[in-house]
Amino acid sequence: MVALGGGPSLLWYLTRGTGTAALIALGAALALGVANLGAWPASRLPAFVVDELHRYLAAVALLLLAVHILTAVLDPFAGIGIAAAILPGTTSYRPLWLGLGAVAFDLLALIYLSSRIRLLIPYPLWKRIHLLAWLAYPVALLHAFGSGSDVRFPWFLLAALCSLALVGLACLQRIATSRLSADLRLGLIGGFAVALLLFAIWAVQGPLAANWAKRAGTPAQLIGGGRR
Amino acid sequence: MKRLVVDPTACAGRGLCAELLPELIELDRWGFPLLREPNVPRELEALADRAVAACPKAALRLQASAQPKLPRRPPVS
Amino acid sequence: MTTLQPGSLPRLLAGWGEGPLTLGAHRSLHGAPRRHAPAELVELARAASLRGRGGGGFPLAVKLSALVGRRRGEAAVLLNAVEADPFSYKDAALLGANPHLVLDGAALAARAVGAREVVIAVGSRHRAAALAVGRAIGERPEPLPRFTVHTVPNRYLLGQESALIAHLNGKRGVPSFLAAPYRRGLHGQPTLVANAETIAQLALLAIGGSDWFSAIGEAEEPGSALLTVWSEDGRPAISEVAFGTPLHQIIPVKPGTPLLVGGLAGGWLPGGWPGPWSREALARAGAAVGCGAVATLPADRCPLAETARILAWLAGQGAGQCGPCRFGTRDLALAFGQLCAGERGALELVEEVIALLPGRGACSHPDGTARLAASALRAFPELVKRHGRHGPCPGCATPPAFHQLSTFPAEADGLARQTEAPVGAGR
Repeated sequence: MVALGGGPSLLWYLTRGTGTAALIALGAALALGVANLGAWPASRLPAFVVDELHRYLAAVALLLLAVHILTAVLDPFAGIGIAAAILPGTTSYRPLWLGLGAVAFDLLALIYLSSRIRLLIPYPLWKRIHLLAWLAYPVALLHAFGSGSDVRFPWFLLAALCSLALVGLACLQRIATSRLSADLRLGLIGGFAVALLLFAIWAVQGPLAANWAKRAGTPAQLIGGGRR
Repeated sequence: MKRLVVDPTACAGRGLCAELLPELIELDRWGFPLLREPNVPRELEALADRAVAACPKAALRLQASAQPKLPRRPPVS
Repeated sequence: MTTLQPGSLPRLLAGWGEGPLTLGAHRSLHGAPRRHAPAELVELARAASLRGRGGGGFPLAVKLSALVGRRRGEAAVLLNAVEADPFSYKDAALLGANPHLVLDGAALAARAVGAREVVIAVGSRHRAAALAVGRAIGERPEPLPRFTVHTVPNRYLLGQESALIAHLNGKRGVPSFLAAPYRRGLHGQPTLVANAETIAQLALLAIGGSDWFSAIGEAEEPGSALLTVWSEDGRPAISEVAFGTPLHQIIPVKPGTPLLVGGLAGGWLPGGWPGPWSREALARAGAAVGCGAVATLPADRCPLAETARILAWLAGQGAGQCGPCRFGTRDLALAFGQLCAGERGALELVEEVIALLPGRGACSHPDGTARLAASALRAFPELVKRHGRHGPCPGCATPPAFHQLSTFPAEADGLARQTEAPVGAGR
């Protein structure tokens, strides 16, 4: 890649950094949300600590996300407008993968806002909105792998793995200690394993393969021109 | 003075409220909250707010005491 | 103005003959209530201390004024004749005797709260009563209020106000904690919910006037009450008594026979209890007026064993929503069984659980269950000690005394009338 001008811009670094950090924070928040469901041994950690940590980390994730979006919009390289933050498909730069990011952000913003007014809305409604977190996370993951240009760097893969591990372990512990039938438990774990496998396969022949930038929809003038 | 109220139909006995406000809430033998004193003294109001926010089922509420007490439900007719 | 003398009984059951009174017969007997302004009706109910006859004893005036004072919108009236306590048949009897008295009261209440619809909920085991009130509705000439009869399934909890409303609204028939019927009830409208007998008493009050109404009964609570009286042979009779009537006049029993009064959420009275049928006296004795049932315990039975059986039945009747009730009624039933069996520590456990139940649920189910258990401990302390020392007594092994729990007697038809109940304590 040929470097242009004075090297990579600060905004670009921030976008990548905060995006990756948000992925980890989101994974941790999700994991704590699962732990919140009650299987936590009370002697180790009071339940309210798990609960408040969950809410704190979720807020941190959203803050990182805000910086991630803002810096991406302010960075003139990829020409991403502010509308792209919430509307999928409005960018010329990798429209699908960036669009997924917008969807993930929309969902997370909805979850966060509904939690702010949790006591004002009926509990079942709040619960259903909150469960959208399970949709937001995989969408965010696909966005991270599909639109990020750091995918092949080990540090990013490590971060993504950490995030997945947190979620995976929390789910495993919850499933193992739940009172579901053995069949259902096996089925759930199996389902997760299959999903993970499919994701890994896609990652290997997609974002981690050579010409992903072009396949993902990076505009031609940006390919080969490298990063500033 | 504000008053603590537990919605017993929503409460699942998770006990976060008693962890945060042991001065006013203790748990019975089944893990469900016993409000020793429903009225919240001024110095505990912040903790009470935190306990209300922490309840995973939104079962704990803080009411202004001026609200009329709901008429006691009569038993089956 | 009613043709009945002020000091005489029966009132609600007056004229009960072969079948329900026709509209004409009812009018000949009682006339028709004149129009009352809403505030007037509330004041009438308040001055007469008219309280609910369904079990809660809640002042009707308070219920009425909560609705009369509201600003706008359509209200509804719900008459609770579900009568889901297995020991109670008096509402069914009333509907089968003089449904028009009930309808008159409902019309008065409906006009006062601005409701155009009155729903009468009847338990499915009271088919004859549902038929009688249905036919009576057909006889009414006025277009408003619109009366509808709904039959609801035979479940103990459906006698509870908010559970009944939830069921009628098409949802799960379980009590609600936050909903107040006078704000959001039937179809989301402000609803006046009252027991059928209470509403009939309101009609009598409006027809006869305050002085007439208060000519019998007590100063704190004038008027009469309908009782379902179960004699030793297990058959029910409906009796109308004035408040303040000595219990031994209501049900003649052999000396030493314990009585279960107020239904399942009431309490035991030891044999020979000398008090009157009065809300305060019964409450002080650890029992309750409740739904107005009085049941005799046959001689060879053990009241503690019967209590254990009833507690087990009650534990199964809960909605299961509220933790302390769900686990408390279950543990109470288990502990009481252990008490009968003479297990060590059972009495302490029973007392501990009793203390943990009142006020912990969305309805009064845990309260009533605790009251029943506590009344047994209080009425039979010697028996409790004896079981603690020697284990089960011969009475514990007998079959259940109260068949009402397993098979509701089919109809209210075969009910005997005890209308010769003496005039109660005068004023």
